[in-house]
Amino acid sequence: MKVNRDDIIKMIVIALLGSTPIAFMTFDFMFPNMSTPSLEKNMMAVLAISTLVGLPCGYLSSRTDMAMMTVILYTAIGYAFAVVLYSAPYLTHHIALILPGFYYAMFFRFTILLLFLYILGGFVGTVLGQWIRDSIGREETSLTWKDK
Amino acid sequence: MTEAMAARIKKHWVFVTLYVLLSLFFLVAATESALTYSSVVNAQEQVALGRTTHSEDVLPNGTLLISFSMEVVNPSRFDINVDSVSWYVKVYNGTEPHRYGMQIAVDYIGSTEGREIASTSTDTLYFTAHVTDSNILSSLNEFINYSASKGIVYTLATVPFVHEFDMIGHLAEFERNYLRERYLNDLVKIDLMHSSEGAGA
Repeated sequence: MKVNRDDIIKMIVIALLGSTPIAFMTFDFMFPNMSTPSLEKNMMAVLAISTLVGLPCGYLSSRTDMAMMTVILYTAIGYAFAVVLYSAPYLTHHIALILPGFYYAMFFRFTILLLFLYILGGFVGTVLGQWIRDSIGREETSLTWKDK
Repeated sequence: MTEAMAARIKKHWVFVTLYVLLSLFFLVAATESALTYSSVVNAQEQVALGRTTHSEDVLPNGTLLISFSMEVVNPSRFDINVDSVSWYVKVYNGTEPHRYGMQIAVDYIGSTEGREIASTSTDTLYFTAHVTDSNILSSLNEFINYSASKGIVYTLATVPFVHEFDMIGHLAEFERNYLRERYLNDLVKIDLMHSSEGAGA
């Protein structure tokens, strides 16, 4: 199937909007004592929010392949944003980072498994979003026919 | 954006609005959290020990009076809750590796005192000890006599006392009782040490 300009714009907009919860959850997983509000490393909460973030992909996109690509895209952007948040003290206060290799290795080691949860939750959300859209569509159709 | 997209957004405006609000909520939360983290790391850099003063006097009744004060400079936006403060006065005899430290005085402030160093302030901690223990005083006199035999003249007030100071606290009310993620405890922990020997005082 061809991908048109509208599909790409929609994918980028949804990906940008969906990236902020991913970034927050990743950061919160590293520093639960400093983030506001905190999920306290509750994986069920992470999965639930991932599902919620995935909903619009299915709801607003009629193409499943594009919706799934959007989930992967917002996860990637969100994770990159989380790395920026993780580096915040060294970006804003010019504090010298001792052992940068270890610092970032610790981040990836702690959070890499979350990516699977985000994508899994996103896919589940996509399916749910499509289901909600189809349900609303069916209801609208039935109401329209009833009126006539 | 094409007309088709605009029409689609118009049709699903409730859903789109909720999604934008959700995204904004997490954007604000993530930014706020990152700024807090940034300030905590910066506070770790900024909080430091300041000026120290100490004095040793012999009172008319023969008691040795030792006083010490230490400034704790907290320019950060977080209060420091003090968990413990230890102050030791020692006299070291001998040279490394055969070095013997004789404890002259000690004082301790625990967390139950609820001591707090307010944000953007400098607090001074004062300690005073009256050394009346005859064993300690006689040991000091032995040290003075031994030093005199080696050609170094000391009096009770001019003995090279070493003041060792250690303060452990934590920033604000951040959670710090993690069993596995110890880095979270260390991140908000303040541990400041000072030795007048190292400072050359």
